[in-house]
Amino acid sequence: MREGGLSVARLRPSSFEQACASVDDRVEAVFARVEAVRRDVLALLARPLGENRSPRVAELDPLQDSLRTALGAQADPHLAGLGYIAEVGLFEDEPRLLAWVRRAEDGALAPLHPDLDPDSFGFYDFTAAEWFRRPLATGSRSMVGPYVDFAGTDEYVVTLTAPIVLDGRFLGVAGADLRPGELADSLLPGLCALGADVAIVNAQGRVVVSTSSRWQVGALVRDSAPAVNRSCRRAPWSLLALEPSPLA
Amino acid sequence: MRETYNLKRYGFKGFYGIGFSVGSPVGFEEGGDVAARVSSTAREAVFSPLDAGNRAETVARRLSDAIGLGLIADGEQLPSESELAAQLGVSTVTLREALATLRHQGLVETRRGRTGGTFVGVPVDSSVVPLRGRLRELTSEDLRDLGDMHEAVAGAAARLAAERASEDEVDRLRSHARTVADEHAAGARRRADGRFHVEVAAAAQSPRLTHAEIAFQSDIGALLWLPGSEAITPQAAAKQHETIAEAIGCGDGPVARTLAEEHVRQEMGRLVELHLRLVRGT
Repeated sequence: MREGGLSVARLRPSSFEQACASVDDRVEAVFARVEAVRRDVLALLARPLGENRSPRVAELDPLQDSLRTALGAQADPHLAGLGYIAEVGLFEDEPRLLAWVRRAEDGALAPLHPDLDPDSFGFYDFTAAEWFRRPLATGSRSMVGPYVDFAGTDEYVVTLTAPIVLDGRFLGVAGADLRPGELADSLLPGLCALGADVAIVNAQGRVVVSTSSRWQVGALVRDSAPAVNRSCRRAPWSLLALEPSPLA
Repeated sequence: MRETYNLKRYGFKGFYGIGFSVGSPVGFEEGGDVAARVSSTAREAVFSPLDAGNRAETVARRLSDAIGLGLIADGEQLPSESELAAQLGVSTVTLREALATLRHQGLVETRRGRTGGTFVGVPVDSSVVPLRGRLRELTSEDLRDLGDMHEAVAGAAARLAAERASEDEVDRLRSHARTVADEHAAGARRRADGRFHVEVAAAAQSPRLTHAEIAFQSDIGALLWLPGSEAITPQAAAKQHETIAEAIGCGDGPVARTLAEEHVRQEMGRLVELHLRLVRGT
């Protein structure tokens, strides 16, 4: 990390802390939605599991309404989708189950029905996805991406998930998708005010949001010595300023 | 020149190097299985002499193509070894070697005894028949154009993946590179092969390239893996996938692109050959 150079001196460190905090706020707001889904699912599954029987898909029906409400027009932050992905074999009448509502960019809501037939070319193998495996393995929430969610939503998304566990038994994950573009809508005004070319990058150094065409969304920032490198506290992301913009 | 050098370094060359003798086109009526529509003249051409210099591998390939394309039907008895060797213009030693390859691939079985002989033993999967029909009905121009599109998509995806793939993604590409050679059923091979290409496009971080790759794989992917007449051997596909994954892992975009383009161009070239064989009925 190379901080305190002449050019960086013009940048106020406090404003970077503030920008990181606003990223964390957005992320926490999304995790709050995920947490609500987790509680809803637990409430719906507590009864069948308490009776020592496998739940049936129909018992999850009420979840659809709460997902739709959480994704509705007035909802903030904008989510690309929200829902529950069940552990394989949990349900009596469906080996693999996604109870997921997708919000199109125009706001239209529709349940997601990916191909869950393992013998099909378009099979959505969510058990191999990091956002499913990590909560299962660690018991902690995860934040993955941006990545191309092929066979699922087929979009470029960031996925936030939390494990759902009842009496030590893993029931699947609650999760939400974010579009980097929609995240940029809410974060760019603050980032642009920093007076430098900045990028928010994930743990791999992949650009999530950027104020410069030099670092496009999805690109990896490698081998760079950023003038500023601030880690967010809640999100596994960092805010980089590579150099002050000549116009700043 | 750099690309040529690198291609040699990665050991790329043609898969089979087989020249197909040109027969006269055979007229088909629409509908029905291909095998049923092939005239006896055309069927004899399957067993016409091979060019000098071809060996057991070529004989095996010609026969397995004919089986895969349905030009020789399941359960059909091949001519006797001496007869077939004479028709193909090869020694019986070469023919036996070829038949051993086909037996090993599970395409023919040899029965002993009075009613013995070599029989085609490929249970015709119901999904294969429409695929053969599709491969025949597509024109060479369709196939060339689909190939052009796929080359553009696969090449661009590989170049961008070399720039953008994270270590995890490179690991995933490496692990998917070989699966096509580990699978034995046609459907599983096709999924494994398609999956590698889709993973490359996803590693490029582009939903649109990923869509285009999925569309190609859904449309044409199965035609590459007709049992017996695969457009590429699973081992060659795995090897090429590995070299592509390696170039992506090295962050070498131009080489990754060239390798991917070459890979899909060779597959589509073979598909055109197979299409023409179906049209000719040989």
